[in-house]
Amino acid sequence: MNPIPIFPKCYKESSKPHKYCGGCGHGIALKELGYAIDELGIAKKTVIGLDIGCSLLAWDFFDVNSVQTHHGRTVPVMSGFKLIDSKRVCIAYVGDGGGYAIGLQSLITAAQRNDAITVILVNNTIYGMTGGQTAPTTFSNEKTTTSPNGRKCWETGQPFMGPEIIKSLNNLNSFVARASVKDPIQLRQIIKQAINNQINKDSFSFVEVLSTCPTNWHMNAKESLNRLNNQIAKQFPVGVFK
Amino acid sequence: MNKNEKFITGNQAIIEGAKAIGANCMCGYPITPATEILEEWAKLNSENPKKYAMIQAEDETSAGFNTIGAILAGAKAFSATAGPGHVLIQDPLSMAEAMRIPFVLFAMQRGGPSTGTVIYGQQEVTLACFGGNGEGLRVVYSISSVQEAYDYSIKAFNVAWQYRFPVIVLGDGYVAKMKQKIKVSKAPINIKSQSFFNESAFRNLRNCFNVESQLAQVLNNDIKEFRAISKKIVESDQKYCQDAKIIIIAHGIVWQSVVEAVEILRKKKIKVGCFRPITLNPFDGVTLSRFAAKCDKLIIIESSAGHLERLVKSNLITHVKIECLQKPVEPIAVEEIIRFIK
Amino acid sequence: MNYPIKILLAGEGGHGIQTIAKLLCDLVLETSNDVTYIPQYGVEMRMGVSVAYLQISDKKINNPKFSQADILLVTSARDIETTKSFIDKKTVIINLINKFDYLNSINIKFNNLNIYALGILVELLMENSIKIKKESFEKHVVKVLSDKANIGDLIFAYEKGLVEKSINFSNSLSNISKQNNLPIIDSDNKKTHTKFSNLCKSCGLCLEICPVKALSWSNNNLNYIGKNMPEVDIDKCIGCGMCAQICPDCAIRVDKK
Repeated sequence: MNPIPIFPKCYKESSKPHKYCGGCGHGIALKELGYAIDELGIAKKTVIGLDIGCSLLAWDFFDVNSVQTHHGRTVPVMSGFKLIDSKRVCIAYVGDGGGYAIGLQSLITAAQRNDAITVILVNNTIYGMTGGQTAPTTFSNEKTTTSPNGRKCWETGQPFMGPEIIKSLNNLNSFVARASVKDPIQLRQIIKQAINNQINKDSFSFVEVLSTCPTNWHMNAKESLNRLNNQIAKQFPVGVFK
Repeated sequence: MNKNEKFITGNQAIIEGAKAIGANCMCGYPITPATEILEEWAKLNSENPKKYAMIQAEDETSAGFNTIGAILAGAKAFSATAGPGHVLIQDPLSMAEAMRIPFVLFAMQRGGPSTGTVIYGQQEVTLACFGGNGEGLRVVYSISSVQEAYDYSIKAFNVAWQYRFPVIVLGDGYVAKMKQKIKVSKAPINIKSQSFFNESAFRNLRNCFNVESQLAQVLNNDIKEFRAISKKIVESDQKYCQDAKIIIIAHGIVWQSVVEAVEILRKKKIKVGCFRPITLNPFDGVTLSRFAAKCDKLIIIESSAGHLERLVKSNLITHVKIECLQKPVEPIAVEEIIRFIK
Repeated sequence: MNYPIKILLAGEGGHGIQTIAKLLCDLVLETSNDVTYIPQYGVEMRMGVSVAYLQISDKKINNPKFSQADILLVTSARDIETTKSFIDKKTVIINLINKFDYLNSINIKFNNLNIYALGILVELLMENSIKIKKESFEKHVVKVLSDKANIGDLIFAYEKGLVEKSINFSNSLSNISKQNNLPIIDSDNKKTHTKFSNLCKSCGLCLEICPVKALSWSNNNLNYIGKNMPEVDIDKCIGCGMCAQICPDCAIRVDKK
């Protein structure tokens, strides 16, 4: 008997191999989200919202109800959904553009309002799908297609510290954390904690996931892991904030 | 007044209609002159938040997406806006158009462009009919009285949920804020809302496709369906057009002034008639053309610089002389119409 | 061939299809001909097939896309589905699908498959009266050279393509050498290490994460995109499973006995 891959049970096998580039952190984040959904036994009652950007490549990733929305609008769609069907687990899976740029207003509003949804934001310090433009989380001097000589943070802002800002919004019951794809097991635990915060405390949860984009970083696996472990981990500390 | 009569504003009538048809969720953002719609709903929500769910969103775009989320979960949800908010809500409206989501929107026109005035205009016609980056697959009703605010509120939800296209009820600041006596009655039919998801068969919904042909397949099918239902839902009204030499075309509250003017002119033996598109989209070009073919000229009267004119000209299938009385952002009085005709 | 000559180039992302499309434009523009080029772009491009549309004519070409190709280049099995509608009776197909053994035998590196294909295209166009100055290749390719490329290898691959006579210019894609997509299983009495070639994308994360450096690039095993896969030294392997954990594609499984 030939062995078969160990997919999460909620994976849609017909869409594998998936459309993410080789070495992309989304593949790891989505895999751990899948295992988290399996371990919590919530596949049937989960709805996942996908944003525009590389997030949308997960539109047919899971045998879980899902809806791909407009850019930066995944959070309000999930908020509206949860208002009506509060028994479902509502997850918004977004990137650094959909979360911290065009969708920032809605993200902060949902957090402030303590909407009982779980936002998973994949931060790879760049806009991947559109070919590598500057993101709110891009580093100083990081070269992107819209900052070809490197981002000038004194003009365009320092890398955006999302969980730090969200945790300071006035809500006691929300769960705010940052994890990294370089530690998949820890990532899975944090995702489960976030989802449980939605289920058990009927409150907002937010997980930023530090991730890689070898294609637009123009790096191979070794270089992108190195960048994730060093430069990125130093700027964006991992942990549970509240 | 007996118990099924009310003396209320257009905005209040919209909420009365929404209640009558079983709407159970509103997501909106305050903007004059539609704000009272949100406020009236908020009163219901404060008494029964489960039956009348509500989100006051951070802006109209988010309000529209909140509404979409609620509809996906099975709510009979709607939003209301005006002017610049109507511009912002085109983003979620085009997602609703793409994904056949029964989005009901009440848009109260005000003076544009930009912040303009908070009062009145008829310049959001093109926005309502063709806003967004799609093909105008949305039904647009133009209301002219408080009674119609009630009646078409009910109809909007039924049409949206029966045919699964967004429906916009287009009013203006005058209809929104004026008080009139209306009759309220139970909705004769009530199309139920449904969740887009269930637990037995997972659906992965999307609006972004990989190549041209994939989107073309979905869109061409939707266009075909919209054209097919157009015949069933197109609506218009007319007076005296059968033997009219001059036909006046107007919509919304301008229609009321036109009707009055036509009655006065008819008493003076002037062979004038009037036509009103009730659905701006789909537009009843067939009926209009039938009357236009037998008359000498059409006069298009509107509080804009050509929104209605463009709709008429693109739907006329007969050749006829056309004149326009255009007063952007200002009301048009009966006397002005009479002067113009003479 | 009649003007406009319609050329469709297809390959996996990273095969350099767009690079040779641009180089071909540079070469054609030195002749008296005009050329129009557009890449297929969009969501399809992420881990999809990379496609370039080129047209060569003596007049200006206005419409960048076409539905039937005069020349079709395919370099991987996945291209067939995307490009088969472009094939009609007159299409000349340059079929380089799964020709890795052959390329190895003539010393062409996998990374230079595209340049080799460019040589074949240039020769084919010259045979159809497009007066390309084939020597111009070197001056154009240095402009698109990445830091990691070796100009000597590129020139070698290009010149091999120019003189290639044994590629069968067929008119159909029915005769494709099949790729073996079975899982690759290594085991000893303590653990089994399985690699799935129909999932692996050769990203190399597993090689980097392995704490004992038991994984290396295989010379023999290829994945579904035609790239070299990792192979495991089962004696060095300690069965920790970190490679399986980090793999974004679930392409590895490690079972302890």
